[in-house]
Amino acid sequence: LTSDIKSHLVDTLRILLAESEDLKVLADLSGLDPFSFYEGADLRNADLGGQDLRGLSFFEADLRGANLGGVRYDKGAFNGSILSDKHKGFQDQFDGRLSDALLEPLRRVYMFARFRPETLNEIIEFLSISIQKFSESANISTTTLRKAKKGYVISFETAVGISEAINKISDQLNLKSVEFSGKIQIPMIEFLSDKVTGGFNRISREELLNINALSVRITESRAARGSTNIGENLLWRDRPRMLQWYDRIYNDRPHSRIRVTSPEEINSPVLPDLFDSGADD
Amino acid sequence: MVLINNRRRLLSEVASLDAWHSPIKTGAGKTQVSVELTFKEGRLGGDDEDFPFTFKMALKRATLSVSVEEPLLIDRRSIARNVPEALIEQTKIRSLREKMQANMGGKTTFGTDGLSSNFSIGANSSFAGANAEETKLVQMVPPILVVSEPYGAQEYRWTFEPSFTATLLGQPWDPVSEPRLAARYDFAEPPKICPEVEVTLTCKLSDVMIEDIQPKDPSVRDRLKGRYSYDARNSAAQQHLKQVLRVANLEPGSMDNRFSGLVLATVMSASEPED
Repeated sequence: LTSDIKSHLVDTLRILLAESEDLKVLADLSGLDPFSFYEGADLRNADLGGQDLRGLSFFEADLRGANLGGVRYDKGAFNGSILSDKHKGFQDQFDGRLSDALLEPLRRVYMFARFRPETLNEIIEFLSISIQKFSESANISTTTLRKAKKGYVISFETAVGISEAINKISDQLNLKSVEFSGKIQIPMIEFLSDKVTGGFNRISREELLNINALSVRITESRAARGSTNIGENLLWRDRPRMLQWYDRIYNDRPHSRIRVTSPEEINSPVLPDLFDSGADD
Repeated sequence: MVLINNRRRLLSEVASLDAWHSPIKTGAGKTQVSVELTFKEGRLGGDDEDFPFTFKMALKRATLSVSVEEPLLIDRRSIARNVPEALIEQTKIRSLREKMQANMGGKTTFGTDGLSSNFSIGANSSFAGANAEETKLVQMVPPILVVSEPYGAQEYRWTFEPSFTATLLGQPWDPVSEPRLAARYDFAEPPKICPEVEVTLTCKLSDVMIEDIQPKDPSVRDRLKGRYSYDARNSAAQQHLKQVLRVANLEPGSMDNRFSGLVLATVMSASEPED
């Protein structure tokens, strides 16, 4: 958007008075990025039957009562939107974006991930790059990349590597097309944490962003306590539930001088007593 | 990117915010923080020449955060948590019950023959419910539902949702009789630099509701006659206006991040002497 609000308001009127009711045509009239234009939109009861919605994202849009009969859309485009019960099939569990995997504070959290196979395959195909080259760029083995392409559970670091590689390669190829920028912004990753009893727990995108905020807060708290084990040491990572535990300890005892540096210390018989007698006066 | 300055906060038309606190006291003294918040809805654009149309705007949801600066700490016991009042009304349908007892008195004898007594009550089914005391739960629902949530040791948040209306309207609490929280200052020496108390109202783009865009030009307005309110063109135009207002609302130089909340208003709480 430029500095001239008047011309934008004329665009609003132009959309209102358009001939076509096609969402793609209307998004193009907006002069804004069509991919994200409908994010957070109120599309309740809109008749979109038969429209081609590929290249559009409906994240946080309200589509209750809308007619979605026969529409074509990108998988994941309706993740995070509000739909009528009969349209729940438009959503799947892959609600994380490539940009989520690249959130720096999450690298200190012990997590796993899974890609939607068709989206990852489509992107790699679009980049027209060999499996060998792509895995080199992602700093992973070709076996791991094949696993990711099949939708198997991979480590969070692998997901980071793949996300970085996609960004890097598309930058090198100078892929600035609207079609491609939509393709790599669409939700496509499911984040997971391991269970004590084996297997994985799904982490919704909302939870993921909370974990990200927690990680920032805990790093700050640790730094404020003079902890030696912070930030730069990526070999040490916490499980999401440990972050919540730390957060409670730190916030309930903001002035406590106790430093928590590892779960081993927490499990020691001495520390729990110290917490109970912490400085809560 | 920078729009004309006085329009930057056009989104703030949907709410007004003010905050004040009692002076900071040394030695574990409590500082009361009060917030006056009013949600509004209205038709905008009427007296602004740059707007070729008027429109209605209101909020579907919003979040207020109060954060205190170090070394102030939030006293957790002091937080206003807005639990809705529940009234329980107990209605004893005495006359009906008495009637039933009288009715059954001649017909059955309790205890000696369980089968016949059960059968008899079943036959008088209209009285079956009167056996129990009828308890009605009457809940006083405020127009704005408030959910409170801690956010670290220095911040607390309240989220607002309308309970029976479509959008937020009015005040969620009495700012004078219900301070939001008290902050603690645990040191004997007064602070060298007065710690700040910041109050911010945010929402998501999807929480802003824009409705009923009406062109000012009558001939243009006529072209919209007979159109359904849920026409995709209306929705797209409302969305476009939301996006324009969002960018106009951004602080100059701030990152354009559509996932971060829209800041509707920020105020620094002012220190006010107590009576």
